[in-house]
Amino acid sequence: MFDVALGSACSDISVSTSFDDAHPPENIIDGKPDTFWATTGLFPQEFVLSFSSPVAISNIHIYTYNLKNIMVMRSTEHEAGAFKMLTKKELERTSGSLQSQLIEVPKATVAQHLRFIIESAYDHFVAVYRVSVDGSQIQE
Amino acid sequence: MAAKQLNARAKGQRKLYSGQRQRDATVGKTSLVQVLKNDQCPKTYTMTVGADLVVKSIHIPQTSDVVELYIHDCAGKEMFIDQIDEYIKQPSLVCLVYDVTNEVSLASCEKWLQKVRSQKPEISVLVTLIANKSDLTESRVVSQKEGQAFAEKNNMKYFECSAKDSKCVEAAFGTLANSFHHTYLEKTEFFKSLHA
Repeated sequence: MFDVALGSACSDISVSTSFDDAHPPENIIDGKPDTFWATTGLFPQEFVLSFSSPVAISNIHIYTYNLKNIMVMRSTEHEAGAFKMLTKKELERTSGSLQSQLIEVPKATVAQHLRFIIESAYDHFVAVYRVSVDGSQIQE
Repeated sequence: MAAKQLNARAKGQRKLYSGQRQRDATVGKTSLVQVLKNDQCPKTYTMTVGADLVVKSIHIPQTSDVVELYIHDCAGKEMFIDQIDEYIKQPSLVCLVYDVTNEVSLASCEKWLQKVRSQKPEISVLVTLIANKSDLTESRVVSQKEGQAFAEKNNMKYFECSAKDSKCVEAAFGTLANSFHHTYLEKTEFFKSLHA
């Protein structure tokens, strides 16, 4: 079991609805605690975390700021598509410290793509610092 | 600085109160938005039903950044209030418009302002006030002083516009875009001080 979302472990952010050179979506999975992806206005906003092969997931942990409602979906297809709902969460507002949210998933959840949809926020902009996914790659 | 495109949702709106609906719905919001979009004032009047969407990209001076404004031109008529609620949920910026030849339209701005600020009080939203139809000097009933005082009291930026004069319309929306960009830089600077 290890963090399969680390960019070095065969994953990448394949879609994101905001892009600022200074705070690109890759920051979500670069393993650094102080870099972040910033949304640049309006909601919903989303990003898709893609693995190079299917992964069995035990839980997901997100570190964010200003996020209120998030929806997580998964796809088991090789090409991202046919997303199915995994879970929805409403986060508490924090002030001066990050939101740290554990997202538990049903046992034996398999996904090749995880889609995170930020539906609403506590401010005009949201920062996503890190998404870590506990899981293991499925041997095919 | 890195190139970025920010997205903001702005609204031009003003609501009417009992009895004055007919007059109230014609302060010129659509004309202002159309001037911004086409550099041209529409010659004929068509009442806005619900809300129209106009997208306008505004370049931020001294940067390579662009703020894309999604302008929801909301109907002034009270009968469309429910539809407007959908757009009012999380605005980035708000632009209230009144007609300097119509006193009631300024009073309506106060009601709109309360509505906007009560929706999500935890999020600060920049609001500008546009005094429209400033070219109609003879039939003017709301003075510049009066409009400015109202704006100041409610912490809004004040602009005097005529949809026939596109410069002022651009200045008003440019100010909104600039302040949104400024907020983004401020917030991301704050985000840098936090870490996982």
